[in-house]
Formats: sequence, C-alpha cells, structure tokens
Amino acid sequence: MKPRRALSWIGLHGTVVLVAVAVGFPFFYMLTTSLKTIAEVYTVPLPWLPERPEWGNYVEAWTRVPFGRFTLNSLIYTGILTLGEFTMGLTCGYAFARLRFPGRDRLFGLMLLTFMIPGVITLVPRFVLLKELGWINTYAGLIVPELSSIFSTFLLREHFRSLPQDVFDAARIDGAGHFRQMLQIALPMSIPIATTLLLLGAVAHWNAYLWPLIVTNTQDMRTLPIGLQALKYKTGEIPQWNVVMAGATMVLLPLIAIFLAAQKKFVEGAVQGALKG
Amino acid sequence: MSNTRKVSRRTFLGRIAGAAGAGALGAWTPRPARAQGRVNVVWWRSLSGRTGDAYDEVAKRFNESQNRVTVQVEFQGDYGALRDKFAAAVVAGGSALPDLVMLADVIFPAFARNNILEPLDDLAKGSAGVDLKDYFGVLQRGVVGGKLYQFPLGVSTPILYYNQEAVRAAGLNGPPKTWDDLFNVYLPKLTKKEGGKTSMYGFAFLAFVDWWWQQSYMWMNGGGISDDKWNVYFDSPQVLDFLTRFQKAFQAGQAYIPTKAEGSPVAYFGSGKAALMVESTGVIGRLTEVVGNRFTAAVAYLPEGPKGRMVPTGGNGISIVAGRSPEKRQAAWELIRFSQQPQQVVRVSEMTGYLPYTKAAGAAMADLLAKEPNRKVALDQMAWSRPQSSIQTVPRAVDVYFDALQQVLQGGGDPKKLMAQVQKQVQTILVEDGYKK
Amino acid sequence: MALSVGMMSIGGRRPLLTERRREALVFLALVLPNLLLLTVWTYWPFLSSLYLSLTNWNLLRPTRQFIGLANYAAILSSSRFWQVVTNTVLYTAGTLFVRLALSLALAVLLNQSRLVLRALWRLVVFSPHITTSAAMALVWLSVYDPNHGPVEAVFSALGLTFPNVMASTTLALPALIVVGIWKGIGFSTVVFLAALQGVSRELREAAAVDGAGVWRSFWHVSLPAISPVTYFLLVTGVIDSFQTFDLVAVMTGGGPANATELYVFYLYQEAFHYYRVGYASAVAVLFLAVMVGFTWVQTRVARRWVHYGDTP
Repeated sequence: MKPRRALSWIGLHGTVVLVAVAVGFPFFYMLTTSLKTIAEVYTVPLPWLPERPEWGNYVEAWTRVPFGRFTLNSLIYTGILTLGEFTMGLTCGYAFARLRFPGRDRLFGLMLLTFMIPGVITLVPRFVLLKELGWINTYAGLIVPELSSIFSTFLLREHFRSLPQDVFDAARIDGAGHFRQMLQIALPMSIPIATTLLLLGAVAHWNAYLWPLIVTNTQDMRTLPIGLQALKYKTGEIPQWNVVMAGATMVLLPLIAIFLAAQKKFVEGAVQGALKG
Repeated sequence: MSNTRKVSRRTFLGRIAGAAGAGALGAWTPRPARAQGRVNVVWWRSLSGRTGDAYDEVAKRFNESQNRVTVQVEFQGDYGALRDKFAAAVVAGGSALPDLVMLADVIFPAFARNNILEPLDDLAKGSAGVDLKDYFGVLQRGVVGGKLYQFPLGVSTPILYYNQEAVRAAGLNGPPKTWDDLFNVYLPKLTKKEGGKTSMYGFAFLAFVDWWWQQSYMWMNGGGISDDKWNVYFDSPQVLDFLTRFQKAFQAGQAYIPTKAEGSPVAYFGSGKAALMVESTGVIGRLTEVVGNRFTAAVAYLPEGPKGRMVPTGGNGISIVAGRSPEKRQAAWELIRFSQQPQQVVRVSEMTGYLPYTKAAGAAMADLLAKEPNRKVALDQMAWSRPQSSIQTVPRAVDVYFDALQQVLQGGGDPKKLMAQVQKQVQTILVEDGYKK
Repeated sequence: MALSVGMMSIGGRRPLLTERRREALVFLALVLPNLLLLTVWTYWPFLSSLYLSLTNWNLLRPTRQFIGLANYAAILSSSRFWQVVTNTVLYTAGTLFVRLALSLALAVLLNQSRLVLRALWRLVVFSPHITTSAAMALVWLSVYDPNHGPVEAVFSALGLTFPNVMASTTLALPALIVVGIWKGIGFSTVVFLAALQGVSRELREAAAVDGAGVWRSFWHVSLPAISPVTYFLLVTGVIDSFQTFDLVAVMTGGGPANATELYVFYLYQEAFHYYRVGYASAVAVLFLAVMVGFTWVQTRVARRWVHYGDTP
C-alpha cells in the first residue's frame, strides 16, 4: 500500500474508532461505575476501573427501591401494549388492505390525519378523562389510551396490499373465511415486518417516561424509567452513583439483549421509516 | 357544558369498562392491611432522617396507647414532594387520598382555601378537644379565612450554624453578630481557596424552594416582600440590596448553594465544605449524625440588622383531609389530640430541634434546654419571631421569585431588571389566582 | 360454514348475508376497535383541548369558568413563556444542525469501501437510539459531575477546571444539547448511510467521468440525491426535539432559573404540577399550531432544494 493510502486508511479508521469510543463512553462509564465501591466513586483522581467488581450494588439497587415491582409494571405495560397495538395494526391493516367497504379509502385517509396530532396535545384531556373514569394510577389508565395504532396499521396495510392475490384466492376456495385468511395466510407472510414492528414497539414502550409519569402517582404503580429516579434520592443525601448505575444497567439490560439479537431489524426499521417518509 | 352530567355518564361507562376485565386488572391498586377491629387512618408526612423518625415514634406511641385507632404513617419525601403527591391524590380522588397530612406552614393555606382540608374548630373545642389557650400564639399560623385548619407539629425559625474550629482558626471571636459583620469580615476570612477553586465556603445557602430566612434580612433592614393586603415589594430597595450583596458573595466564591447532586446544605456543612450555614432549628437533632467527629457545630442567633432582629417562624403542622367519613374524621382527630400532648411535643423536640410550642411542653423541657446550649439559643430566638409573609403561601408566585433568586446568584443576572419582572409577574399571578382583584 | 349460511335464500329473495355484506361486517369488526380507541383517546382529546384552552379550569379548585382567549393573552405576554420558546428553539437548532452535520460526515466515513468492521461501528453508533432516555440522563448527570466525574477528571489532568455545568445558567442548555446529539446521532447516521449507499453508481460514475473531484461529486451529486432523506430527518428532528421531556425532567428540572425549561416540560409543569389544565391546554394548542405551521413552511421550502426521483 502506498504511504499516502496507508495514512488515509489510518486516518479513516482512527476517526471512526474515536467516534465509536466517544459514543460508547457513557455505557462504559455506566458499567464500570456500577461495579465500584462508594469510596471509589468519590475518589479523586477518578479510577477508570473498579478494583474488584462489586456485584452487591445490583442487589442494593434491587432492594433499596421496589425494583421488582417497577419491573413487573414495565413488563405488564410493555407486553400488553406492544401486543395490543400490533393486533390493532394487524386487524386494521388487513381490513383496509384486503376488504371492501364503502368509503374505505376515505376512512383510511381520515385515520391517517391523526398521525398529524402530536401526543402533546392529547395529554391534558386524556388525563381529565382518566380522572372522570377513575382510571388514574391504574393499569387500565396506563394501557388503554395508548392502545390504538396508526403507524403499524399504515405499514401493515402497505405490506398486505403487496401480497399476491392468488394465495388468498386459493385459500378462499378452500373455504377459509377472512379471519383465517388474515391469521393463516397474511400473517405468516409478514414475519419480517411483524418482528420489526413488535421490536420497535417494545423498545418504545419500555422506554416511555412522560405518559406513565402522568398517569401514575404512587410508587407501586410506577414503571422502571420512573422508578429508577427514586433510586437516586433513596440513596441518601450524597447520591450513591454506583448503585444508581447498577439500577440503570438493569433497566437497559433487556433492551441491549434484544438489540444485540436483532440489530439488523432495528437498523432496517429506522431506514424503512425514513426512506418511505 | 354541564360538568356533573358528564361525570355521571363517564363514571357509569367507567364502571362498565372496569367490570370488563381490563378494569378488573386495571382498577386494582394494593391497599394497606387493616388492623383487626380498629379504624385505620393513613397519615402522609415529610422530613427524613432523625427528624422524621420522631414523628414515626409519635404514631407508634399513639397506636400502642389505645385500641380504637391505628395510624399508618407514609413518608412522601420533602415538603415539595409531599405537596406534589398530595395534589396528585386530590386530583385523582377517592381512595388515593390520605386521612391526615403533614404540610409545611406556607403550603397548607392554598389547600385550605379550596376546601381540601377539614376545619378543626369544632373538634378542637369539643369535649375531646385541646386547650387552645396553652399555645404560644403559634396556633394563629393554622388559621385561614377565620377557620383553624392545621395544628402545629414542627415549629422552627431559621438559625445560624457555624463550624467552631473554622471560625477560631480564622482568628474570629465567635459567630457574626450583624449582617455587615458577616459580609465584610466573616465571609472573606472564612473562605479558603486552593488553586483558584474554593475548598471551603464561608457560607452555604439553605436551598429551600422559597425565601424563608431571606425575609429576615429584608425585615431587619426595614423592608419586606409582601403584606396582609397582598401588596408585594419585590422591587424595593431592601430586596435589591439583599440580592446585590449576596450576588457579590457568590461571585467572589464565598457563598454557595449545593446542587441536588451534591447533597443538602446540611450534608454540605457537615462534611466541612462550608463554615457557616443558615438552616431550620429543626435540624439541630441531626447535627451529630451529619457532622460526626469532624468539628464542633454550634448554633447562634441570625445576624442582626439596622432595624433590630426579626426571624420568621416556619415548620409544619398536621391537618385532616376534607370529605372523610365521620368515623375516620374522629379517628384522625384522636391522633392530632395525642400529638399535642406535652410528652409528645417534648419527645419530638428532643429528637429534632423543633421548639416546644405549648406552655406545658415548655415547662416539661426546662431541664433539657438548660443542658443543651444549642437548643436554648433556638428557643430564645423565638422572642424575635413573626409569621411569614403572605406571598409565601402562593406557590406559583414563590416559584417565580425563587427562580429569580437563582438567576441572580448563579446566573449573575441584574437584580433590578429581574425584580422589576418578578414584581409584574407576581402581581399578575395574584390576580389570576384570585387573591387580588 | 359461513358460506352455506350466506347462500341460504328464502323463496326468491336475496340472501340476507351477501358476500359483500359479510365482508363489510368483518371489516367493521376488524376496524372498529382501533377506530373507537382513536376517537376516544386521540380525536376527542384533540377537540377537548381546544375547548379547555378557553377555560380557567384548575383541578385543585372546585369551579371553572369560560374565559375566552384570556389564556392565550396571558401566555403570549408572559416572559417566562418566551424564555421557554427561546430555550426550545436554541436546543432544537443546537441539537439538530450539529447532529445532522456530524452524522452526515460520519455516514460518509462509514460508507467508505475500505472500512473494516462496518457493522460493528454502525452498531455502536446506533446504540444510544434504543436506550431509555430517563436512564441515560442519570448516567450523563454523573458524567457531568463537577467534582467526581470523568469529564472533570480529564479536565483536571489537563490542568483545567471543569465548571459545574448543571448549575450554570449559561452552560446547562449546551450540556443538554450534547446529550441530545449523543442520543440521536445513531439514527441519522444510519439513515444517511443507507441513503448514501442508495445513490446509484451510475450517477457517481457519470460525475467522475465529467471530471468532478471527490468534493464536487459529493456536493453536487450525492447531497442532492439524498435530499429527500435530509428533508425527512430535518422535519422529524425538529418535531422530536421540540417534544424533549425526559432529559429536562431528570437532569435539571428546568433549572437553573428556567435556563433549561423546554416546551413540553413547561406544559407538564403547568398541567401536572400546578394543575392549571385550562392554561396548559392553551399552551398545547399553541404547540400544535407551531408544529403545523412549521411543517407547512418546510413543505413549501422543500420544493426548492429537495430532489426526488434520483434515489431508488
């Protein structure tokens, strides 16, 4: 390799590595701090690595606040909402794609308009409605208002429209009704996009902060992102960052796991959305 | 649009939805266990550490002293956090509300005015009442619109804490006697710098959410921030003088407000990072816990001003939430009555630094006060106490002028310009919220 | 099963459940749940917001009244509101432009054919996107610690003092902007990368044949070719940035002295701290108006610089 090319190869990789280190640093810091002793956290100059991994911090984070309860709430919220929203998208997307109905496309257009309504403007009235229903600080209040789907409906409709008509015709001749066609024909042919939607949905709901913050007002109903904040205050007047970082790591764990297992899907999802938009 | 019609239709729908599965899971929130045969009342309180423990003890003693009522105490964070949680419960309604609530002296009036708290006059005067004449005048604090809504629990004034060794080492003889002393002599001498960064501050600021002790400075210089007719004076010379002086001290690195991440001023002072601190007398009981063996913490009167010495009262009290069933209301009252007994007041005083507020309690504590000089100073300072400015009870206004304080001290903002703005904003708020026409 | 029922006819009359009608019923069954939810929880709240904004309703007070446009008048004459707007615009501009520029540059680097381990770098850069903002905000709070954090350690090693950014009225917002950039850079990089990879080879080769150097080829060929994607990132980026809440709530609470108070946090404070739901609704309606206005303006401006039709 000519020296000039070698230099630019080094330059390229050097820059990219530097960027990766800069972006990845907060994760590194979070992990290493989660394994430090409180003395190490407050030592100056700051030690980059703990001497010995202090796994006790994780136990501390779990027990100092009702971490198990927060996790349960997050699982219920994320699980039901992701599946529910997807189901809405599936049924609605299929119906708009493959069923005939007078004024169907106009109805769909109207539905799309809701896409333009930013969540911000619905916050207060939703809260007032929850208050009248007595649903504040309940699972129903957390989940039901968020259950409707436009994004999934839109994507799945597009996808279902692209499926070959003859497969459905064959099924109909065999005596399959619409429900069967939807579940046994359309759905299996949509595994990739379905997986993407489910993953994106799960991540978004796991990370939700503002909505659960508004709906819940007691600790036993809060989800992880909110509960995690309690850890910072519960650790005394001088925050125990090691315990807080351990808590943060636990909150991110499921996300990292899904992400590593299905990273291509996430990247695809992002790209699909962008290029279609 | 009729509000009541909407409510009943929606509650009806809500019940249907509630019964239909989603609600079955949804409407469930865990409820506290009920003690057998006794009336259960829930009491929300503030105050952490030893100060809070004192009230847990009062509740425990109450539960053990009789078998009709069980009080369940729930800690809800500091005054601000408790206020938020209580407001949220008021909005959510129903079983979310506690029966009893401890609110700061300037926070409860806004709730009382909106009929969220229960008037206590008839309970207090009834056959199972308390001797209202036994109080050191502090009962007036709990009156809003002619009705009594709150009995005192913690009564305090702001006081000066100082690091005896640091003061001595700086060649100073005891604590500062006047504000001029503090600014001109003490702060420069007590502030220690190492390589451009302050290692010990002269003065750590009580980082509360309002201008509690700062009212003293204004009063002692012949001014104030508001009066009983809701006139406000944020653009007055005394306020500007106060802000300018403190701004200079902050910019010179002599004074400091610890951030939330760094811990409260008490912890800051206790770890030796500041030589002086103004805080509530209510933390006297926590001093040994926080300071340890690092140095000797002593207490002195707030510095005096040209117009003499004046300090605001502060602290918290206990109220009953409106809308309780007669049974719960009576049960809640029994706790309040118990808490006002001399033994309880004394015990709380012992564990904290809060002052005895009835004559009977004061008499019972005479020995302890004689033994502990810090507490004696705190009690003696009560002679110069007066109630807080009216504007302190308007939360939106308080947030405005507290933010302005931060802008002046930490942001180096122009006091005159900022206070002109604050004056206008607060006056608008008073009209918007119905205090003034 | 359903077929035989439908085919049943009484005398000479048409069957009750024709194929078409059944399909319509199935359609309704599939669509109604979602539509109902949307109506109750999105459409109706939108309309209700408009109504509420004309009242002085405070959830902590027993009564409420219709006050017309008084809320809007109060908002527009409130210096606090304008400070919030300024903060939000600054935050959005700071985060978006820096982020897009950086991610475009990064995408170009990642697009180089000589690069090894591309998938790894893409993975690392994209990872902040899927994290929980509320959790990473805590991490960043610790990173920014002025006495014990890693940034301070680096500054000290270089003989500089790291200021207390979270307590500084001038540095707090930039500190948040850094976190905003960090969080979003992965998404835009990955999207730009895909777009760059899509710029047809013919286009680039044609430019090379024409004698265009690397820079000119990039500026006059690649950039216009990916302009639809740039447009998309810009519009969604603005809408997203304007809705930032988690970072503010966790890291600064709007302080110090409202320096980091952003729009949605301001709305949250008014609605769920003071419970002034009438006023807060007016704040929300204004937000919607700004967003719609912005999108409309962008659509018109886009015609001038967005080139469709070149990218597959």
